[in-house]
Amino acid sequence: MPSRKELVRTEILFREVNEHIVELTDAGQTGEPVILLCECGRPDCLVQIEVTAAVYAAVREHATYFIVLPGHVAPEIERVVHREDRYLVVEKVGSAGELAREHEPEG
Amino acid sequence: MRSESPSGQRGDLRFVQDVISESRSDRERRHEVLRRARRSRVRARNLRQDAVYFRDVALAQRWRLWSAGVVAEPPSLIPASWSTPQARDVEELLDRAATACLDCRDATVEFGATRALAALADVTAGHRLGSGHELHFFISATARLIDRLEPSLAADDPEAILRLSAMRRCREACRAALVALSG
Repeated sequence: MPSRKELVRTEILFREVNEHIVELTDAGQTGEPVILLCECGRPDCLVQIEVTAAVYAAVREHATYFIVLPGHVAPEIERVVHREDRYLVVEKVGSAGELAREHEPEG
Repeated sequence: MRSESPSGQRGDLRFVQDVISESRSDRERRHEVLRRARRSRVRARNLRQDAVYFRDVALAQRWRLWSAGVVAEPPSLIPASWSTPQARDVEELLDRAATACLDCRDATVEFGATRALAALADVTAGHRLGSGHELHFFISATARLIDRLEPSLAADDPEAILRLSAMRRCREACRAALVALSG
């Protein structure tokens, strides 16, 4: 069972990949669909989630928000702040939130 | 000669800004060309090393076949050494994985279904010199994402075949690097 810190670290690494996916997609903040990786704490997840670039940009405005699949929430480090059928937006809380802020992508 | 009128000064200012902007974009283009050249050199070196390695392996196997009496004629080449080619060290395998990841990125970035893989492979290559945990995570994730995507990708045209081929090479290189990192 991964520790809280390991969970957050994994999510931060997936966020880094998603940042790069959006850069490569070059969709800006439009309604264009972007296929991202689930930003949950399971290193073996790698499930893809399709959202619009605008949704992704809105999530990235908050350093502590992450996009995960339904059922991939780790309640010990995060709480759900927005629900859709295909994905959830979660907010890191406590020390997990601090770690997420510490590693917030630039720009 | 400097312009004295306000409109002339504005023109001069615009000219200076154009020159600065042009110079900046030239510098960026130059860096990009240098970066590509560096990658090509690394790739060429790796391919040369591969060629020598596989030639040695093939030669050793031909000698073994002849020794076992399976083939009548001995190989026409005598190997430089009789030892079996040694496994490569971790650093070399990591270099290969990083190069394979860059190739994979180039082959997959223009195709929507594999763009996430392109991004992951690019990030993995970028972490080549990073810390142990992160490097291990990204290499492992790249190999597993290729496992996951491969069955859904059809090899029905030359571009798709090249894409799949780059993905498979990348996965093999990543797995070899993971084995070396774990050992």
